[in-house]
Amino acid sequence: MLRSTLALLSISNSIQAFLSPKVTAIQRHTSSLSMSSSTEIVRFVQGPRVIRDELPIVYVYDHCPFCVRVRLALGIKNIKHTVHFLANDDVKTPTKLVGKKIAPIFVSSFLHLRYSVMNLFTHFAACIIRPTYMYTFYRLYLKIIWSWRSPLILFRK
Amino acid sequence: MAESLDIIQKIDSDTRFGATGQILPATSRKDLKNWQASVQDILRTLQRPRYVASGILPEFAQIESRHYFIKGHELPPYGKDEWKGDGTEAKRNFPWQKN
Repeated sequence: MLRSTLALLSISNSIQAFLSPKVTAIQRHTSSLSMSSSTEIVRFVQGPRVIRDELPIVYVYDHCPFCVRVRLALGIKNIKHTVHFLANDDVKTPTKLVGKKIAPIFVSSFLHLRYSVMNLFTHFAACIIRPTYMYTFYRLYLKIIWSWRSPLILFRK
Repeated sequence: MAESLDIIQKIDSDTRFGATGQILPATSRKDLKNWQASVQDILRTLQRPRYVASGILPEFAQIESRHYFIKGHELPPYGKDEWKGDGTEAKRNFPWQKN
């Protein structure tokens, strides 16, 4: 689906709508067929390939337009990444990552410490607070924790 | 709704992922949203059954995934409550609602 979207975009040249004029790699040339000089075709040229030691992973559904949006951005920025297609009934994998079944999830390789420490906190909070009358506070705590992580971007290391 | 845009914004503002500011911020255009709302039912009835049933897409490769999707996505004449159950729960829980 992404490939077809990209193909469509390259045909109609409408990819320029997503790009800021700051992009220097874009070549501008006036179409010889157009009557007025104000209409110019802007050809999109990808920047240099970004390959990190630890590739970012995107957890996506192929049919999901929001996922395609993220994959399109990665394509525009020419970032090498791993695509993980979640099965539609797979609740465990996304829940483990961000606390609920949702896509897209972008996992990058920075700030791993923060992520694991937070998991540890959540784990201890679950162990200590759950059996007490503070169960509602625990729920609230979890809600805050997950809301803080809500951009669905996990930075490891 | 904004999560995917958050991800894009994060990627586009990080120098570790190449030059920053390559992608324009969202315009939140109303006309596109309105168009989307106007064709929502058509997309649900025409498009969804096809791409779910085909099994070509990786998330629907296995039958359980397709069943899961069908259960969670109601089709136009039915509301969410009617779709999930056998239709009796909605009336019992919300008797003031017309079904």
